[in-house]
Formats: sequence, structure tokens, C-alpha cells
Amino acid sequence: MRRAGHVKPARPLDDGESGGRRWRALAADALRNLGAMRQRSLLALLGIAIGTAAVVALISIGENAREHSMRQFLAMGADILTVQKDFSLSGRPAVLTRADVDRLRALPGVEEVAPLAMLGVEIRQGRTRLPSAVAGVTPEFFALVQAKAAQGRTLTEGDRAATVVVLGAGLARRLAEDGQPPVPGSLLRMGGYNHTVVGVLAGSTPNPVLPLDVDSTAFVPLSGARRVSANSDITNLVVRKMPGATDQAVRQSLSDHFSGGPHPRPVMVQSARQLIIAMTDQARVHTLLLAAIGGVSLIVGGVGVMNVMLMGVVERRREIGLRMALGARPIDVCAMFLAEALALSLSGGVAGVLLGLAAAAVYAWNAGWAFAPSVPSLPLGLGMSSGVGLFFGLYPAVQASRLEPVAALRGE
Amino acid sequence: MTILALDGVHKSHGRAAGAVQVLRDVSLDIRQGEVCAIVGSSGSGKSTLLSLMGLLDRPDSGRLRFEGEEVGTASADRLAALRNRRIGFVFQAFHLLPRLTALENVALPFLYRGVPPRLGRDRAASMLERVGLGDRLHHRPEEMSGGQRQRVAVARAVVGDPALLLADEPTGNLDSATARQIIDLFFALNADLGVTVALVTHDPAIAARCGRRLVMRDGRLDSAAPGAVA
Repeated sequence: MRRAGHVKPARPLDDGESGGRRWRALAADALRNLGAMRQRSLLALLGIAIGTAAVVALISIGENAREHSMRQFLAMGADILTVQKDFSLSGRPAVLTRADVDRLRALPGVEEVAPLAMLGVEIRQGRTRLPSAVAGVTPEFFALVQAKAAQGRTLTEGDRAATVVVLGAGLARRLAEDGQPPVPGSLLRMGGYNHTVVGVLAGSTPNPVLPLDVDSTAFVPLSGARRVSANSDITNLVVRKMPGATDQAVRQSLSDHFSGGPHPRPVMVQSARQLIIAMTDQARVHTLLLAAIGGVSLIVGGVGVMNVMLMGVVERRREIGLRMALGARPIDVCAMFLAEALALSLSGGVAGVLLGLAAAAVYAWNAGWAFAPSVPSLPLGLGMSSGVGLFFGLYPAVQASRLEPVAALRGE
Repeated sequence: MTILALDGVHKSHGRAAGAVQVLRDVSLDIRQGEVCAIVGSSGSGKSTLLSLMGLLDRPDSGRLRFEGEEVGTASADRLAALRNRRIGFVFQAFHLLPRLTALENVALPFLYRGVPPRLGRDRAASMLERVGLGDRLHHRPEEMSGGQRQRVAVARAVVGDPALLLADEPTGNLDSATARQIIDLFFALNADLGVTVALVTHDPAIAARCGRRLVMRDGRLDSAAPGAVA
């Protein structure tokens, strides 16, 4: 009949097999199959999404935290070193003197040195009493740590004998009386003397290498520190190295200065760079640890995928048998289930990456950091989720492809 | 010309001691263009014979040749390719995929042939028209009657232009009027496309219409029955 004539001529196409097209058709088929078991797929997808989100969020948070602390250092300058008495060694602790300041200044690679006497006293303003860190410093200290006055001025050589004080921004806020923080001209009582506030510093981020937080410290002239506290020895020397000088060399020459001579004095020299390296290492360990936790949740998600796929294989035995009868090779059946597992975990991965970035952004916003999406976490998250999908999808897929067509058709 | 030749085929189910001999020394030839009924009581081995003929299973011993090719020991991939291109199946329970439309179900064999999807759908559509379901292309199996479903299954079996169409009790789930239409369809396809048909049936009326009857008894081909009538 006519119809028969219509069908026959298409015959030569039977052998028009093309790899790419075949795989695309198989992938479309896989997606359709997944859609059919929507609810269960969604649950497995959720597991993968949570695992991926955990990995992406933790890596992003770790990276943002590291960037935040790096930025903190760089704000204050990574060229700062400190010298402090080493109390850990037996014997009399070293005495740091003004003579050391002058001698250290002459060392190669050293740009500026400022002595520092750390004291702790109670500050009183009217009814407010506040125990606070007080530092005896020389005028060059402020330039050295890049602290600027927001109101009034910092200390000068002329303040050497005066009872004046410069307040860190945070401390000034805490000393507020009736909502009014002290301003230049206010009087504060420290160690039995009235000190005139001459300046309030601009807010700053703490530099971990300094023995004090500039923001929450009161600064008095070093020569007047004796008025505030009986023990006003120099506790630290703050050093800024020249931009070209290597960290290692300056640290070495500072140590040599104290360990040389007839009376070696034990001191600890710390540099910002040293701390940065230590902190970066620590952050890396944290990031790895957190990522490992995320990885565990991802594996749990993978087990969920395997579960869904295994149930799918059992439930769809007849379908597998039918497809085999229609000409699906074992590898076609295997590819179908693998594609389904991959599609499942990859969509979970995409959802997880978005979720993880959102979580990291919320965390960063909450912590007051600048949020930058971690670039390597994207391919990592997608790669891990699809890897998990393939790994956990392989077993069910191989199971499916090993079914005997006859037994599968009977649903056994 | 012989399409399919079985020569001294044995087949048992189960393993070792508990194995049940299902086929014993079965030899037969299926010739091109004939319509052949396989009859016999339950458990006589009809379905097992059909699955061997359809290359869904392998004989334990004996030779199985399809279009002259020795397939008893062929690879799984080779058997899949032959099933895909040269053999069509119709089952008692239709075995349509419920989430696919009639058109998609019929086009399914082309998925494993690498035929472009558009072309596969075109051929599926014309085959559905040929079996009288031109107005049901986009219906899902659940929206169709049993007879319509089986016609979709028949369309799927022959859409790839096979040499051999195998049917395992194709009318077992249908009422007698619908059953007759399906059997009519088989004969029409046999006449139009030249496809060889082998079907398992319980229905003596259907068997009587077939040009040749193979009677299975206890795993053996009953040689006392009239062999080739055609």
C-alpha cells in the first residue's frame, strides 16, 4: 500500500549513527526520566545542594576572613616590627632604654624607632571610672603606626613635661559622660593628676603585631608616664623598617643588637610579616578543615543519590528490559542512569553554589567584612558535586546495565 | 529464505541441581514472510522460545542463527544492535513508558540508533498514522484504551522496519473484538511491509488464521502437529 512505500525509503538512515547526537538524545532522555520521579529526586538533590553549599560557604568565609585580616595588617603597614623583653627566659629581664632607641635608629634598614611604656590605670572623668590601657609614647609613635588625630592633635616635643593625653577613638566613646565623649580641652584624672585631652585619634583597625590596640588606649608623653604609674619602664620598642630592607635581615640585626656586647639582654623580636605568614597558614588549615566538613556532607548527599538511583533501578526493571529489547546496549543503560545521577547532582551543585555564596555573603555582612565570592569555590563546588554524582551513580548504573533483558522484562 | 534457524537448542532456567529444563532439543526454521503461531499449554516453553528467537536470551547449547549469522555466542552489544534494527517486539502487557506520549514511545527505538530526533519523530508519526492512531500522537498511554495502547506498541515494534516481528500473547489483555483488530493489523503489516511474524497465543482462533503453527509440548516442538501449512 501507499504507507508502506512511504516508510521504506527511510531505511538507509538506519546506519546514520552519529556520536554527539546520540549522547545528546540520551541526556535529554535522562532529564525526562528524572522529572518523572520528581519528589524523590528533589530530596536527593537537596542533600547534594546542602553539601555543596557547605563547601562553597566555608571556603568563601575562610577566604574572606583571611582577606580581612590581611587588610588589617596592610592598613597599619606590614613594615612594623616590635621588640619586647623576653620574660620566658630565666634571669633578670632585659631593660630597654632610650639609648637603645638611638642605637637602633642607626642600624641599617631601620627607618624609625619609637619607645613604648605600657601601663594599666583607672581613668576617671566625673563619675565615670574606666580601667584602661595607657601608653607612654614619644611623638614619632603616631606617625610610625599611622595614627591620625580626628580632633585636636597628637603629641609633640613640646608636650614632654605637660600633663596631656591623646585618646583612641574607641576609648573616647567609652569615656562618654551623658552621651558626650571627651573633646580637646576636657580633663581626665589618671594616677592622681588631671590630664588635659589634646586630641582624639581617628578610628583604626587593630594591628596584631603591636602590644596595644590604638583604638582603646590613652597616650601620654613617655617622660610624663611616671606621674600615671610608678612602674613606667619602656616595655616595647616599635620599629619601622625601610621599604627595601628584608624582614629577615632587620629582625636579625635587632636581635644581634641586644644579644651582643658584654651583657646580652634576652628580647623577642616580632614582625608583622611573620604574623601574616603564621596567620595565613592557620587560615589555610581552617579552610581545609571546614572544606573537609563540607565534603562529608557532600558524601552524605552522594549516598542519597545512590539510594535514589538504586531504587530507580529496582522500580524501573521492566523499563530497562524494554529498552534492552528495543536495542539499548548495556552501555546505553549504564549511560542513562549515570546521566540521571549526574544531572541530579549537578543541579544540586548549582543550587548549592548559589546557596553557599548567599550564606557566605550573609556571614561576611554580619561580621562586617567586605564580601568577595571565592572564585575557586565555584568550579570546586560544581566539580565536587558532579564527581560525587558520578561516583555514587556508577554502582546503580552498572547494576542496571548488568540486568538480563528477559528477567528485567518480567520485572524480576 | 530462512530468517531464523534453531538447531538442537536446549535451555534451562535456574542453576545446577535446581535447574528446570525449559527447552529440549528444539530445532526450527522461520522463513521470511511467514506468519507463524506458537501454541501450547502454560509452561510448555513458548515464551522462552520466543525470547531466544528475539535474541533476548541465549541458548545453553545448540545453534541459533539469525539471517545466517551465528548469534548464540555474539556479544551483548551485537545482540542489542540486531534487536534494535532487525527485530520488533510486542508484549502482552504493552510495555509502553507511561511518562512518554504515544509519539515518543514509538520513536524510542531510534534513540539507540543515533537517528536525529526530528526524523525519528517523523517516522514515528507516520507509523502511528499507519496503525490508525494519527489523532493520538500526543496522548499518554493512560489516556488510551487497551487496544490503542497495543497499537502504539505494534507501531513501536515495526517503526524501525525490522525483518522479524515477535509477539508474546499480544491479545492476552484485550477483549475479543479488539484482539481481532490487532491480529488483523499483524496480517496487514505482514502483507504491506513483508515483515515476518511469530506470535505466541493461547487463542485457537488466532492460531488457526496463521499460516504455520508450532506446537510446544513439555519443552519440545511437537512434530506430530502439522508443521508447514503455508
